[in-house]
Amino acid sequence: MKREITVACRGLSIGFRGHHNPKVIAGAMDLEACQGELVALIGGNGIGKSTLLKTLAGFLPRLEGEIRIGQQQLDHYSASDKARWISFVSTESTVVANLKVRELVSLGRYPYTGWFGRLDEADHQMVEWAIEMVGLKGFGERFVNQLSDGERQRAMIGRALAQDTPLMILDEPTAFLDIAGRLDVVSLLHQLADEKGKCILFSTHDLQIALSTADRIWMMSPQGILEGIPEEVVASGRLERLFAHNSQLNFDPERGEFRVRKKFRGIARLASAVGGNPLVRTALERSGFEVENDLTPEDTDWVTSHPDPVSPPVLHIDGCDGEWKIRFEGKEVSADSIGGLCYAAKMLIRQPGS
Amino acid sequence: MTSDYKKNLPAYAVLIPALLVFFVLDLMVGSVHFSWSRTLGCLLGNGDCDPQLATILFKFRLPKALTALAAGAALSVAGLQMQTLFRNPIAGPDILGISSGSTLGVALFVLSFGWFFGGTTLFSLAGSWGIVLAAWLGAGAMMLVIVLIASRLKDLMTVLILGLLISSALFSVVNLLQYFSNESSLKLFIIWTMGSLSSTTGDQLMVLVPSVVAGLLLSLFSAKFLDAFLLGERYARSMGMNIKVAYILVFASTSVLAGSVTAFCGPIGFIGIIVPHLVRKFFGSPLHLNMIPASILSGGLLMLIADLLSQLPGSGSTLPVNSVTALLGIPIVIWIIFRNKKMGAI
Repeated sequence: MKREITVACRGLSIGFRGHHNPKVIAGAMDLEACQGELVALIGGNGIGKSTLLKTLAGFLPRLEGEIRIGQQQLDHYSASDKARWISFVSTESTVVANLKVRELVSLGRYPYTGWFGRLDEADHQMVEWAIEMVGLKGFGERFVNQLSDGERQRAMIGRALAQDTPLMILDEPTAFLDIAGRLDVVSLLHQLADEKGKCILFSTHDLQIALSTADRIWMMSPQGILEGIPEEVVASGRLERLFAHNSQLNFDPERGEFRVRKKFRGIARLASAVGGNPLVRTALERSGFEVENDLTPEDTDWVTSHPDPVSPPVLHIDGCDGEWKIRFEGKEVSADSIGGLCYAAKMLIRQPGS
Repeated sequence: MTSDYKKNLPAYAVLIPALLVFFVLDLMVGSVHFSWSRTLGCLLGNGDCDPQLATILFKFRLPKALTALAAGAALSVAGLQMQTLFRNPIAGPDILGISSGSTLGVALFVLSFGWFFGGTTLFSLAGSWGIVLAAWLGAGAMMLVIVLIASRLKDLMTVLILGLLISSALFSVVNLLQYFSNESSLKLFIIWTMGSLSSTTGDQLMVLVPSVVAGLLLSLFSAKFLDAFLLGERYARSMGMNIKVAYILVFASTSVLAGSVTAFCGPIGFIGIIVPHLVRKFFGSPLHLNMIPASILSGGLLMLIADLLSQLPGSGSTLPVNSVTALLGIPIVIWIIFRNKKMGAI
């Protein structure tokens, strides 16, 4: 099956044209995004995500290489043709008093209307369609500055949607949203890409959402840009290095997420009955224990009888939900909640032998 | 946005009659008061009009009232355009120094004119066009400076403060120019600085009114550009706006509007800031095909009211209209600043 390519970059180099020497932020990028694809641009702060998006949207000149949008070079588009190909949602929130959602969305018809911006019947229909698509039906007469952050972001996306472009570029659309709002906006973008065949490119700091929702990832790192489906990016092993300078972070390739690295306290061996409860496992991990499955609960005595001062302390956890038993160096403590279990585990190894 | 016009019918139904009433009131009130019937009779040419009244009415009061209308409309629309362009709720021709730019332009023109030609030909039609042209150029140059500053500094308040600084620097330059100029040109300039609504002559009106009408038309023609600017320049560009054409149109319109008024009435403050806010409050939609006509009418009305207030108190003497607009305007500006804390920009 042939994929319809919406954006293609070859040897693209981005940055700022200084008076004497240009400042290159990222170079030699080969990128592609297709119709119907949701592409997440990820990378650390200051790596140039925003610069890349602004270059692709035509706000900043490229330093080298080429950008192809649809069948043509980006430079060959006139301002008004470009506006029919690319719509943009910026990260800054715009506050205009008394502006209604319907008026905001209808500004998206700008490239299609005449000198005075009067909307015809088809424009009105497009506006209503865009409002409905972003889930703001019935909000048309509401003032934009009285919406919640998430609703306002939806309205801004509605404006871009009314612009009716094959490519939509969004600079951190989830930046000021809570977790529900973020999922909401990204799943809306996914739906628009999937159902309406748009190519949607957005930058985000939220790796988990990017890896779980996007069809394709563009990852910017000091080593260069990496492109691929989320699984390929995870498998590349480059995500770990994304925050390599930060020793507090651990990347979990299975879950595809970063975690704050905890002080290592010891090993917790779980009896098979306990191991069945995933919450016990994550709670112990969060408390700094490495969790292992204890396959032979009977022959545990050799560990407790000869504690080696170099090897880490090993706890044994047995029992079932609500009646856990923790054994360590011959002592046994019981716990009736996961919180109690973690607390007891920490206390036991803190005072060895007491 | 035809629906908005319908929704605003009640507001227009109050505004337009009020404008007519205050226009006639402005003709009636002055050092000599005329009655409704005599004024209207004379205006509508019912024959019953004594020559003395006709002279006062047509030579002095009608030009003054027309000047008030033109000045109010021009300053309000200039202020509206600047607030949209700079996305700054307290922008206005006086605050950002556009008015002082035109003052400097006029000062340079008048003082050098006096130097070269002397005499009173300055107050001819040609002289009036010269003054207004100098004011436009001064306003345009100042607009350019402010846009350059605003493109480098994103902070709205810093731009305002720099505007105020530059504005006072320009006034100092004007003072220095006066200090170094000869007696005859200085005299001309002083007469010019005493300009007010009531000092416009028929010749000047022939320049002022067409200039303001041209500026307002330009503004109406840039309404779509201004709408796109509401979301900021980046959005405007992403929607395919021709930035160059847009800036040229808005610059030209603002310079012509603010410059023309300053050229003949001197600097009149606060109308340009407050009228757009009052219109936003009572006329709904911030889209400019809605805002511009409403600002024209409201600005005219407010200026007529200011002029009336400047006549009323002692009835014998006239207050400077500039002080009246300041007294009217400052409380409203304070309200804007307080409200803006929670409502955000324009």
